[in-house]
Amino acid sequence: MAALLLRQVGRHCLRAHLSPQLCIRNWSLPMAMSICHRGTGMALSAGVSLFGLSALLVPGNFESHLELVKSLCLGPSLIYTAKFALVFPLMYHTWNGIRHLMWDLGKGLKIPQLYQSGVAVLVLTVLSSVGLAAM
Amino acid sequence: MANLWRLGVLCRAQGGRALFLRIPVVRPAYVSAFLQDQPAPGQCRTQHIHLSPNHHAGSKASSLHWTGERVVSVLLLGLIPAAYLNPSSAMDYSLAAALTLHSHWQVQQTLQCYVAKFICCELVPLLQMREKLIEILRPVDNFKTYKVFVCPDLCICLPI
Repeated sequence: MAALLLRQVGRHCLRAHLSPQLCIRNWSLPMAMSICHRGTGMALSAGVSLFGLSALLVPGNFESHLELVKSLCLGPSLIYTAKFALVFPLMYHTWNGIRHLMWDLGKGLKIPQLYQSGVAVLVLTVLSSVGLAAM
Repeated sequence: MANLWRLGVLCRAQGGRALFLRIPVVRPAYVSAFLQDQPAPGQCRTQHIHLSPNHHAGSKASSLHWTGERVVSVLLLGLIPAAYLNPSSAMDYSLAAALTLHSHWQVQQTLQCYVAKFICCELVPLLQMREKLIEILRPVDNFKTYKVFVCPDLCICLPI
């Protein structure tokens, strides 16, 4: 009996704790970019830590690993895609980081400037990733 | 709402970086109603994390920490192209140091902003609700004890 009553109470709050965060009516660009900044930061952090750990634990040095990858004779488009996938979060985080530092200086805090700088960061990210992956 | 205030101080004292992420600090309505708090004006309380070092925190240390974080970020920004152009072991060491420090501080900030909020705004109210449920059920049946599961969308009471 008590269980049934409580079930009724529970039903009202289906996913109540998450839905305001995720189902906010208008996802704005600055909000999404901020989440991506944190997401890329965590991913990069994990990547760097794993890279460091593997350098400690996996035998062989960087050159031997590079030779191994070269010996796989993967297609150039696959290599380019992999390089692009690696450098894209780094570039995004870097450019958005510069945007954050600008905010910390007190510049560019108005809403239209927010959107303009956001779009600029996205464009720069894509361009720099394309350029760096081609190197 | 003492929990929310404490969280606010916590996040601000860490020199909250600009997150234009409106983190709604939600006190689910069912929890508030159940715990009979003062009625919240709406379901969401948004808390903006501020940009500048917070002077209300009152301590020089947090302001210094904030400045230190910015300095390390700028340093890292400059080190990356410099290390590419002039590779050397000194560059390696400074890059490693700056990278480690930056990632440590930022990950710590992220965890404090999300994990602390989750614990204070979701886990704690859920646990409080569980306690209340147990209290309410105690006089109902003195011979049985109830095992109470409180999940975000479902409250289950099972007699043991």
